[in-house]
Amino acid sequence: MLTRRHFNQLLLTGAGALLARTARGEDPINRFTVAQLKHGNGWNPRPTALRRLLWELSKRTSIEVEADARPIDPCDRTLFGLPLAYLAVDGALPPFAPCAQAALRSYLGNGGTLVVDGVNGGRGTPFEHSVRGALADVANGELQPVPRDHVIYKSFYLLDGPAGRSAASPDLDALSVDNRLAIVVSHNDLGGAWARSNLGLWEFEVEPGGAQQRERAFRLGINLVMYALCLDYKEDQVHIPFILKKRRR
Amino acid sequence: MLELFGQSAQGFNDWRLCAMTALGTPWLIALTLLLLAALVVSALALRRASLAQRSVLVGLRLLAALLIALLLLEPGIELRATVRERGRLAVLIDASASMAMADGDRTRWQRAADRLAELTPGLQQLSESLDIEYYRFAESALPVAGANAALQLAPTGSRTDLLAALAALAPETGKRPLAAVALISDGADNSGLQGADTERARPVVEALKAPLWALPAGDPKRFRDLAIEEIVADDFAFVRNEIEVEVVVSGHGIDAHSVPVTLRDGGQVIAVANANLDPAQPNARVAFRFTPAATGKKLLVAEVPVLAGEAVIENNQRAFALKVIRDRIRVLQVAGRPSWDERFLRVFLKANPSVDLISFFILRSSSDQSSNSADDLSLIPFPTEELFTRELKTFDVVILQNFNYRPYQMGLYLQNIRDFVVEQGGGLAMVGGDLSFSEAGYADTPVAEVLPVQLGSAPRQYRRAPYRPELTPIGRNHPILDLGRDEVGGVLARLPALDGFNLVSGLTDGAQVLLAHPFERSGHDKAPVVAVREVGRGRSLAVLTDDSWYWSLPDVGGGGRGVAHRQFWANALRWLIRDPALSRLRLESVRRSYDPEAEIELRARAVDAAYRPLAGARVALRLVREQASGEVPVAERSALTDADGEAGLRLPAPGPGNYRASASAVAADGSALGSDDDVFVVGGARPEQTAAWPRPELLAALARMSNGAVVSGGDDVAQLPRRDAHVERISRAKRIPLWDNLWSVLALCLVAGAEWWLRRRWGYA
Repeated sequence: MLTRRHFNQLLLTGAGALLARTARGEDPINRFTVAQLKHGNGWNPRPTALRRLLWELSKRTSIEVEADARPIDPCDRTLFGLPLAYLAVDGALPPFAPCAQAALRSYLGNGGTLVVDGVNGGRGTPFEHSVRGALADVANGELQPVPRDHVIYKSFYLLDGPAGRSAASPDLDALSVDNRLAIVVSHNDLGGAWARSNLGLWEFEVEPGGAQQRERAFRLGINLVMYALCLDYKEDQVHIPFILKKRRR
Repeated sequence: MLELFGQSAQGFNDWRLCAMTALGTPWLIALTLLLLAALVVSALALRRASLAQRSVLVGLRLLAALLIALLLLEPGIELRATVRERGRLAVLIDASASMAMADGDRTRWQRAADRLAELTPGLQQLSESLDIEYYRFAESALPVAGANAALQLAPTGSRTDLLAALAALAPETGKRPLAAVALISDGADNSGLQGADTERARPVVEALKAPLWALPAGDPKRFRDLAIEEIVADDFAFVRNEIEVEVVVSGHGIDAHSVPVTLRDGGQVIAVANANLDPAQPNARVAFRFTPAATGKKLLVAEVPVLAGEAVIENNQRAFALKVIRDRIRVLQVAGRPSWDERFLRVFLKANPSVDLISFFILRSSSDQSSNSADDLSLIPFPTEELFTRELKTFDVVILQNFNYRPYQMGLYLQNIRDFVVEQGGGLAMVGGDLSFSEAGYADTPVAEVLPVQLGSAPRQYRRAPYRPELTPIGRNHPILDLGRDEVGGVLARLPALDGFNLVSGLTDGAQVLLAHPFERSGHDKAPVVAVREVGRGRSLAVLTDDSWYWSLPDVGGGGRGVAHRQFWANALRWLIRDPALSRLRLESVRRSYDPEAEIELRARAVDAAYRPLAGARVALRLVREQASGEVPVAERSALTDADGEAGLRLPAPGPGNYRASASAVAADGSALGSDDDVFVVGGARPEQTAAWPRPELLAALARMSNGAVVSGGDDVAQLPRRDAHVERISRAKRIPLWDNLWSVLALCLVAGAEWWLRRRWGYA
């Protein structure tokens, strides 16, 4: 006789099998994407930026990507399924809500990486003050300039320094957790350099370096992703002679 | 005089005066001083007396004092019956196995018999005053009835220990002293006097208190032998770290100035070096430096060629056990593309101090845009040839993580990966993704031969849909799924569901499924998600998902601790490298070296998942002989472990050679417990064969130490140095007191009385 327990088991098995069959129709590639954190003060000043970056990432590297980033509230625990998060700030960053502080602290301490991108960054700006204040609630330590020989400048492209829509700051700032950069802050509006409309027009002019500076901004974006995925891979001994040789050219 | 005291001296042949007082010396001194003081006082009291009177009185008092003193001493006569005992002369005859060797046309045993025959007439003469004792010695000395008994049995002793034999003769309390010790031996000591330093024999020789007569029975001029005398090496070495092994070669009667010394591991020659022999210094040391490439217990063999006319050929090779252990696990991680799965695995491997990680990630494939100048990129060529030919054997574990080999022309290296597992004993982990397993075309390749899963050729076997892997009965007890204190099923239930999954068509022979897919099927069975396999000398692991990283950061997001990912991979790594700590079976040979006739004894010990003794486990044993041409199967056995988790396995003597015993065990519930092996040597050169050359100079040194002599054939035994070993022993004694009688009392009374009467008469009372 079919008991209720057996019936439920059959039901679950059938549902799972159905789901599996359904899933076979989906794209079977594990695609990379980025979490874009929502906050209370214009969290998406460059709506097309990440889409464009992801597209460039897929074109230039072996990484398979999703078309778009995923907007996520920092209090949402699904954030932990996306180890790279992007936080765009136009003006000042409001303090994180307590649930976001707790979540981000745990996220960053267990392997997550946060890239903060300021539209109007620079030393002494409201952006910098607010970011330092907000990040103090989610990680211990102070933001420090990233040295030019850091692996983040060679994780895919060999770069001499940061780039973006503007040249507000000559440095990226970062904060380390467990010997890796867990938070990277760009003052130079990376998103502004990446943003491109569906018609293919760049949305913002890049100054002062123009197209070359825009290209460097993409390269930095790709390096940031590669760093998040490979960490200090390019510091492995086997790479060093090649990198030194290329740098000397 | 004794009759005056009513005593008789019959039965005694000696006497002496004695003091029978029980008073101790301090008392006697005190009383003597008292008497003297009394005498002085009394002499002073007689100052007014005339000289004659004073002399008489003081004289009488002195006499009285002497009598009192004598009485206090209790004088007596001790009668003694003394016996004159004979000393002894010991004849030691070397009965060790080296005495059976021939130096030229006669064996040393025959020469020993000749020396004894030369000695016998002289010993017979000495036997009139000395007791002649005969001993056979090898590792110890045993008395025998006489010369004939000493030579009756062939010499078969396993060791020559001259010091032990001499120490057994030393006179102790109750033993009669030695007049001399005759030592008939080839001098081939292989115990305490093996080296050139003979001074350590001095205390033993001097304790004999007798001269030693050395009668060499070997002829070094006719002894010809080349031997591996000693191997100086540590018991263990670290893999891929250079070690040094020193081989000591001895050559006696060898014309050659240089002989090759070969060091080999089974059939493989590790190195060959030349030992330079010098007649003045027969031992030559050869140092080998090499780097072991694989872990495990090994029996290495050092050997020299057998030359014509050698006395012993068993000592031309010598085996020694070397346990090669790892210092760090060398891991090669190859990822087909950057991913979170690759990233979290790299974090774990890099953070692990026992891991030496080499990573290669394909950051850009051939289909990606290459309009940028190569100088702008930090990319390096993927060194496939170097990695999968020369360098492959330096790794312990290879991880192919979502890696499609085809774009990199690696097809010709897949056989190397297969051999790395099967023959070298390496560990291979293949991790899933859309570029892995069947998607990567590994089906029908040499790599597929070693995987635990069967790969089909159908396309699109990688899919993504949420599922929670199910624990199999084997997985429940497998060390890879030891994910923490809690029961593994509960742990898995709390972990995030996975998405990615590579479907395969089944399992390969000997594979085991640890985690299975709840819905997908491989044939009739649930499709594996994690499967393992022991193949050849190595192991393989299939992780048919690219989402094991969900057990880290996403698990934290779900309220977990995020430790299951690194725990899983830590366990996987240890399992792949056969970490002994994970093996639940230990196999040990009772001895490292067995005599040719001895039974082989092996002990297996099995533990359960909690490392408690496991009863009822079936242990399967396989014994092979390792020789230059390869392994030769010898025997197979099986046994069940007892309540202590132990099983003893005995095998009949398999004949001389180098052996490896390998065992695997299965618990009563069918779960695999692991495997282990051990090595040992049967037969081979024994100490009597290794250090077999005659050493008359050692015997001469012992004779010199004792002020003895080296005896030649024509020597007169009576003229050889001897010690007067006779002793007189008191067999019986009797004491007769002389003081406790009337005469003593009367004498004292008379003297004292005379003094008193004269003192009164002369008015000094």
